[in-house]
Amino acid sequence: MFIRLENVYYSYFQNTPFEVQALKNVTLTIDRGESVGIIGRTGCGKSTLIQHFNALLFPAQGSVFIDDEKVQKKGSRLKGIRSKIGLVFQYPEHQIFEETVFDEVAFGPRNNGVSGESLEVTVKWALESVGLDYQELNKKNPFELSGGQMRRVAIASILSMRPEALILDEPTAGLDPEGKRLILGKLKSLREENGTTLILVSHSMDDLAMIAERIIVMDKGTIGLDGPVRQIFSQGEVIERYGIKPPTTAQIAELLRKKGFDIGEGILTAQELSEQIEEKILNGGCQ
Amino acid sequence: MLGKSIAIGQFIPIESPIHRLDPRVKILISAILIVVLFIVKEWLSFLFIGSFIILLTITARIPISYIGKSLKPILFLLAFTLVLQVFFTPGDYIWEYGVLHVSREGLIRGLFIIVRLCLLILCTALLTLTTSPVELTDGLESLMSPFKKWGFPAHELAMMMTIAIRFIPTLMEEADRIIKAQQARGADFESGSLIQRAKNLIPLLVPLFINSFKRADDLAIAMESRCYRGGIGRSRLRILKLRKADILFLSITIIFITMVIFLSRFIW
Repeated sequence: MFIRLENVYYSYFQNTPFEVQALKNVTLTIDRGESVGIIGRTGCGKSTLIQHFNALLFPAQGSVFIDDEKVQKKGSRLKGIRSKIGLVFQYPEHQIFEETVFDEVAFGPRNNGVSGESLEVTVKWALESVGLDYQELNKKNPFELSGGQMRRVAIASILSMRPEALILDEPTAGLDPEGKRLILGKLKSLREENGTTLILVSHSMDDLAMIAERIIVMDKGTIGLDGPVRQIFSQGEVIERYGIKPPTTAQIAELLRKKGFDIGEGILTAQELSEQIEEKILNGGCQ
Repeated sequence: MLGKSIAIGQFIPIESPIHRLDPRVKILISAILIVVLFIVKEWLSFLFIGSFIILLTITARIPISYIGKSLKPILFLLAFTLVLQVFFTPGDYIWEYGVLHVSREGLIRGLFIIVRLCLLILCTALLTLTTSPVELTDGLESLMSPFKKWGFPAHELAMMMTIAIRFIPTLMEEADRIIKAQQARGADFESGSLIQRAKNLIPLLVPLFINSFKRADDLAIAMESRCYRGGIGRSRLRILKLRKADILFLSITIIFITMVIFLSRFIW
């Protein structure tokens, strides 16, 4: 087991009149190589949850284990945990501060003592993993890049620590469809090539349908649902109670099914949907 | 982590006669009290003013412990002042050790200054504890508006204050997020020598400034697109009006303070 949370509770502004309980008795495990999507209404504890995964927040009660090692505020090697599990915050381009793309991406590995040629190799690999050209960009000022490129530089600056798991909070928010597709595609191939565990927080079910294999639905600080992506997204009525609409493709399939067409359950991608339509409707004729 | 150590906006939103007072009256009285605290030279005057402030605190239903907390940040200043006064005032020495000596006059003067500083702080704390930031800027704008005749930008100053106060929580949230984002990249904000620590702040400060400039730009555009052109001809939602209670309170305070000054000058 890679990441394990046991009965985790967390509150903001603890011991003040403004106390808000953000996590209530959360228990979950995430294995190496999984691709997990975390969804839920705004304020349901998603961001609080992912910050427990890499020791930025510590549970008020309960415990977090990374590779069976208990995470503690004092005594744990926090830097080690944080580079093992990379966290990309929402709008990560807002954290860019260096003068060149190279220095920006090299910030993380430099903090971990990487230098010289291996630093260069790492930076090159990280930039290329997000589809940016090293030769063209490494001397450039990151603030002169386009929004989508800045986003990818920021993601590369986490990847450069060579994390075994990558957590991303709304990685496609505010990007154009092209930039969205590019980032999701790169994340997918990153997982296929390096076995990187992916954890995505997103409000876009279409994005998650493309990349996640397991979905965790958060609700008021607890885990509402947890299961394989096809199973979760085929229960339209159940997940709607949590304020979630299934991906567009699943909705179309559901509509067709209600109209009496023989479309199978658990459809996720546009590809699958079009195949089903071709097979069951165009070839089979209307009923 | 950073957010918790900086307490801002100490306003306590409860109902009390003092909370209901017109902010202009409260600002004026605080200003007068501060001036008077510097004029009077007698312990007895301090006693009167001190009891007056405590009376106001009780009327405002603010816990005494709470108002005491406002003294915490200046404890060092108080101690420093006392030490300077005690050791460097010539007079009757009541204690000597080598070059150090403590004079009776120094001790008395040191204590006197400390009491004066404490009363000053309590007086301003009472103002900010019972007046919301918005009321405070409204009051200031109204009090400064007579000076507009001579080109004093009263409205602009008040607007700047309001905006500054409005964005403090936003800025703190942002700082907290950037700190975490940089920690996720292995940044260290908590250890190292003083110079090293200052250097380590660069990954926090650069994004914070850039984002603030961007936000200021956006805000300017948002205000202009709603036709904001400064204070001329601008009406307001909350109109400050002096009530009978305000005038009564102001008069009583002014009479009381005049008496204190009069007594201090001519009787004692």
